[in-house]
Amino acid sequence: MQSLNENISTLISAEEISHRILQLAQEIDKDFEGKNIVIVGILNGTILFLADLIRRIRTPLKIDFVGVSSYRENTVSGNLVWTKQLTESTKNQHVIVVEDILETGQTLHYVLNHIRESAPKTLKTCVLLDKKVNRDYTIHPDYTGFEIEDTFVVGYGLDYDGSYRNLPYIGVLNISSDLKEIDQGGISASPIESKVPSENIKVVVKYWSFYQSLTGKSSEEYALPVGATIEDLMGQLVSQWAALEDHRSSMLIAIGNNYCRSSQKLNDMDQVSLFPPVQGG
Amino acid sequence: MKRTVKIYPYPLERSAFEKATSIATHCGSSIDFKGHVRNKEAGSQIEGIHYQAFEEMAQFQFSLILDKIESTWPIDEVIVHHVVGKVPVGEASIWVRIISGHRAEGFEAIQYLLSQMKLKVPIWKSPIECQR
Repeated sequence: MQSLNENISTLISAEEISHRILQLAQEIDKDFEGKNIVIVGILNGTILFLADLIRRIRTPLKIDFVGVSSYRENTVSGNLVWTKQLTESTKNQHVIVVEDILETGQTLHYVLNHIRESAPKTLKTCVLLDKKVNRDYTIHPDYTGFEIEDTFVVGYGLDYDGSYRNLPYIGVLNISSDLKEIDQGGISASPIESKVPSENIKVVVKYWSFYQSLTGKSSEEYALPVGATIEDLMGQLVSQWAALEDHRSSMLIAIGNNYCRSSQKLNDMDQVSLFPPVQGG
Repeated sequence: MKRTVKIYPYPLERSAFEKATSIATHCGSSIDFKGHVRNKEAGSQIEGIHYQAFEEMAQFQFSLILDKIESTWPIDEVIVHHVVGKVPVGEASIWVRIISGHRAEGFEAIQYLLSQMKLKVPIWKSPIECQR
């Protein structure tokens, strides 16, 4: 352990955690009455939460774990790679993904996208802590333990530099100010200043295949109001490029490297790609 | 599962697939697939196909397909090479090798990989008509 000028103050006591977990378990039991569920925990932070939660759930269940870590050389998956994959099948199952803390949403977004591919019957999310300040991905958990402020928390599975996971409560770690930029989720930290909401967001639209000749461009920028969706963007696009309208029904749309739906909300600086059906091989 | 996905300008790196890769002794199956450009596209004679890829997303989408293969079948290694740019008729645009303990899982995985690729991986082709 590094010697830091640190101390820990209790934010959520063991009793409060236990009480809230019972309520979450009851909600889950109510929602999945008469069904079987698969609980998927994201390693390593969820272990205590998951262990306590499943002991309160009465619905028959199986558990499984996934592990995700940030970029490693020779593996390309955005910035994340699997350290452990699912072993249970999630196809046609009622799946609840359990995460310790939701911050940027990157990890959960990645895991949900992956599980969605296996065509589960339902896919829900349960997070112990929701820290809404640094969100980069639109995720609304179905079950939330506690919403917390933008402080660095440890204990009850959450670590700082690998330590403190075994504390039975959730505490705030007061660390010297030069270390304050450490990201709680373990992956990309974003400076608070960039999160100040502005009137408009800007997105970069990229065209591929013959859409490039329809528009005469490979990319361009669009400004949209905060909260705008892909649907809103498409409205602007087809008024500019009528030729795209004819291809709407077969058009594929991605944000970054992921396919998305037209209801998907856009974030500032998103890169939106539009293209016809793919034809590799 | 060992994995390699490469997307690069035509032609395919011959050395990559002509040279036998070292195969683990518990593996009894190595399946190679090459996809070649046909001389006709939509009924008309062509001299080649121009492939374009959104490479970063293509890599990511391949990685999702390989994640799924890894969690579904006991596969030791997957190698995918896809070329972009102009590929003449008769030449290969894609090469896939799947190494596994037995052939059954290898054939299932390679079918899955190719059919998912044609749904998800952003690579497009435009036929190059004959000049005659």
